[in-house]
Amino acid sequence: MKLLTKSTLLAVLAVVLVIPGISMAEFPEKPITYTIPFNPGGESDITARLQEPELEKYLGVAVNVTHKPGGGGAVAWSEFQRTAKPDGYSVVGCNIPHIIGQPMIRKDAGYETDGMKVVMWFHFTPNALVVSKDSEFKTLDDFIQFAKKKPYVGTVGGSGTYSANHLETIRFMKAAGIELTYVPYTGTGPVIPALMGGHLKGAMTYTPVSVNYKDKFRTLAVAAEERVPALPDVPTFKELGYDIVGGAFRGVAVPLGTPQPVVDKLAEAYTAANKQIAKKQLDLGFVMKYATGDDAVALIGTMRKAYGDVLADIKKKK
Amino acid sequence: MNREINTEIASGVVGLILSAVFFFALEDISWMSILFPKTLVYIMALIALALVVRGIIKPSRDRIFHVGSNVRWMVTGVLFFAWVLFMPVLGFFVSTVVFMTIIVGYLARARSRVTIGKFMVWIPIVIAEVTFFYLIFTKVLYVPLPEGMFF
Amino acid sequence: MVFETFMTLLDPVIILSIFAGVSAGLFVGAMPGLTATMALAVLLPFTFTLPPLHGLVALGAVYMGAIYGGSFAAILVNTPGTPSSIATAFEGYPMSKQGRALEALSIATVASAIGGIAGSLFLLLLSPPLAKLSLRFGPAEYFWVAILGLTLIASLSEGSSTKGMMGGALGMIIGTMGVAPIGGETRFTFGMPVLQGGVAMIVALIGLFVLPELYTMAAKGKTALTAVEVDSKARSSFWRVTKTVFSMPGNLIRSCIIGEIVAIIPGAGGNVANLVAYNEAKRASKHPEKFGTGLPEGLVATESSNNVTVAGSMVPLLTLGIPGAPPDAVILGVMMLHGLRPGIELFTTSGKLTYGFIISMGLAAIAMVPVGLLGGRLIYKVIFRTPVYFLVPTIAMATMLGTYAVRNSHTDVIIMLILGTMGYLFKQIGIAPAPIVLGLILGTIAEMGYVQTMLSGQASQYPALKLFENGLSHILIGMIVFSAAWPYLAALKRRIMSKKGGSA
Repeated sequence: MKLLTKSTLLAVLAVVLVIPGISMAEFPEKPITYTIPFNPGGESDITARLQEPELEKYLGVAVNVTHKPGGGGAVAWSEFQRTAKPDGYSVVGCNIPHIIGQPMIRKDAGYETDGMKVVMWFHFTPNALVVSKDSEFKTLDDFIQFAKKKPYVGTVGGSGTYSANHLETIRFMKAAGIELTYVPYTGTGPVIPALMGGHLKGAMTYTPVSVNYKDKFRTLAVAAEERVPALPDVPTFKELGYDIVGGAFRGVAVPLGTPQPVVDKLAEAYTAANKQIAKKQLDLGFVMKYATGDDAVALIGTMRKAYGDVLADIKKKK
Repeated sequence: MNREINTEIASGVVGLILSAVFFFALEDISWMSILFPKTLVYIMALIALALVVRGIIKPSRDRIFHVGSNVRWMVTGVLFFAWVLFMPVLGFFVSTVVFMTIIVGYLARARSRVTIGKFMVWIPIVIAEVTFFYLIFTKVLYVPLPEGMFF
Repeated sequence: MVFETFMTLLDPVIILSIFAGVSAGLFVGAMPGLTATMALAVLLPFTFTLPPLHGLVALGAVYMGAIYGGSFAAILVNTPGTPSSIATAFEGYPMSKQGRALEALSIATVASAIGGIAGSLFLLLLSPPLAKLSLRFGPAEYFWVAILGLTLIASLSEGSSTKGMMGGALGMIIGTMGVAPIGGETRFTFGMPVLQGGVAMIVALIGLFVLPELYTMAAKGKTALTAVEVDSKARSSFWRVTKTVFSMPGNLIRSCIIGEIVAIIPGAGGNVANLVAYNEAKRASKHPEKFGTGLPEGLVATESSNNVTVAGSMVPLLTLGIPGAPPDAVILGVMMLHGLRPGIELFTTSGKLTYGFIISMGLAAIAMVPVGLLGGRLIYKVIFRTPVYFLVPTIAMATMLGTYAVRNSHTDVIIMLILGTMGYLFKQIGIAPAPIVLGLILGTIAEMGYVQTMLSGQASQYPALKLFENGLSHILIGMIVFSAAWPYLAALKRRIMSKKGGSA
């Protein structure tokens, strides 16, 4: 059976390679499955739901969003790399730093960072250091002074371990020369009540939280290159003298070996969808990205460098 | 049939075996990740031990596997496993039609004689039923069911 | 304002979407494995095309219907259709075995409707203070809530509670498989990458409850249900059942309050509420020993409490933007897409929408009565008319599909079969499935609470002291002590009473 599918695949590939013009004119001709490796209701899911109708409009076929949560995404990615066919009809959502961190830290994450072809990174949620509105910390400096006086007392919540939030907190501690205690939660959702209820001093979270809870939280700084459109009054870490830029990038990937024209077509479709939903997403605190092709690969490289040292440090300490 | 065993000792022994399985699977990772599971394994071993001790001090016996035919549930169980394991090979639809028909025939045998004529009635019903669920899941709920060599 | 809003809801399109939503929810809830979260996620794209109010109304109705629909499978097949109706099976299934299935279904319907209405009333009238209370739950409190939940094991395990405790410990260990919620490393994966995802609670729930039932049916060669209804028409008539339900006002009020309190604790929902309400109903009862034999009291407690959580969990959602239960995350997503920011302005500037949504959930609860009574009879007839040799593979297929759909995972189906088969063997030696599932539900909460507390206390010399710092923790600890000591207290009381009786 396996042999059969493999040889058919080879045949298809051969045809595709020899006469790309003809066969590519036909992609896509059946529904596309768009797998989200997380639970419904999260940022990845919401974005996919927004993209879905736009993608369908552009591609002219149905795009079915399904979920395969587990292991912080690893379950979906390992299965995708193992079984998905490189024909462009299987697309999986992927995130930085997850796909960089997990294979480094876990004994066997079941997949490789470079084991799939990223079609596009379509948006970025920068990390943001957030405190409660009635907190004593008015500026980033207040926070740093406090942490200098009382090492480890400053508890900073965030989503997950080895996540963008976690790694950013560590980079921040290094850059500012302070000691904080990072408290991981299972996702961004539970961090919010913990911060509101005063169970944490601050939270390293993503900018959409800053935007959505404007009247409850104060954002001290964001880890973006430049100020986030939805938060014009919030300084960046860079402005304040700490060179940290990072957060979660979301994108989509296809299996390695997917023909280039198909990848291009998908990239075009996602670019078009991204432009359509940009307004809604910007208002929610996202930063739009249009990294396709080599840019997409380069981004993985940059972020691997940025977080790699931190991860290696943690690994050594263990 | 009359099978009686001391279920306290039995469940204690099962608990000890499971504790051992998980104990040897404990790995040397950061305290945050391992503290809780480790504690639980010890707690389970303690409870299991208590069960064994109590079973020895105050022995009591209970009947087990006393409902109906044991062969029948075991065969049904094996058929369930085969059904699921064949799903990625035959695809959900084909695998389900095949194994549902087998289970229907097997269980019906307990009550009455099974004839070819009866299968002629059952098979269309099974196919109709599976088609209904298959369409709901794939077309309405967008669940990508396992595909095999057919579809 | 409220009255005005009510009038806008009397739009035929809205009424229709309520009925359609409840019916769809009912189907999803009755199928083991299909959860409210999944139903809402599937519906999401449709709601984009609707105006915000219509979309939210439809989602609320589906949510309400799904939590209620779980009781059908619990009563008729001894399988909680959703984790919110675990305890419903304890009383509902014995009733079915006695030929009182229709009565049980009707009681569940009426109790669910009352719970649903109570939940919307809580949400309408008491949101701000309840939201404040929910914020006081920090890591330490979560830990104690989980421990308090574990004291339920004593009443959930049929027979020996030591065996129940072992089941609970096993459930918690199974719950730790996969990526650590805090710490991020993987545990107990036995070298298989796919186990990084761990064992989803719902997968274990389906396996542990359904398979033993299927094996028993196969072994017996017939269903355990009595097809002969004991004057079914009279006993299950709507008015009679309504009277029965209202004849226990104490039980109703207690269960609704329990449901509401559990609902506002983010992360816990109907799955915990129904068990707690059941336990308390048993404890307050004059004849606790009869629980498990088909008592309407138990049914009323579980079904009213779990439907309270539907609107109840929206208290933290609407006021603070915190999803109280997984399905609420989807609703939060819809609100965000429509530019509705949770908080006070939701009740002021977009009050019409918010109040409309809240009231519509009450209406959905009322709509459950006709839909449920009709649908219940239909499902009942189908299940009773089907010969066992068709019923076993059909239920098996439905559970496989349901399990698969949880995470679109074939491995989950295999895990379900393995756990279920183990569950059947465990049942033989007296380890019931309920404590194992309870351990699975609470283990993760306990672990996160414990490790987070330890982390927050890192600056002090004894981090563990953080567990005992807050007033709310003290209250919870008191409740744990009371709950653990209760069986002994009750026994003592009985002994004293019998002595008195003897001497008189």
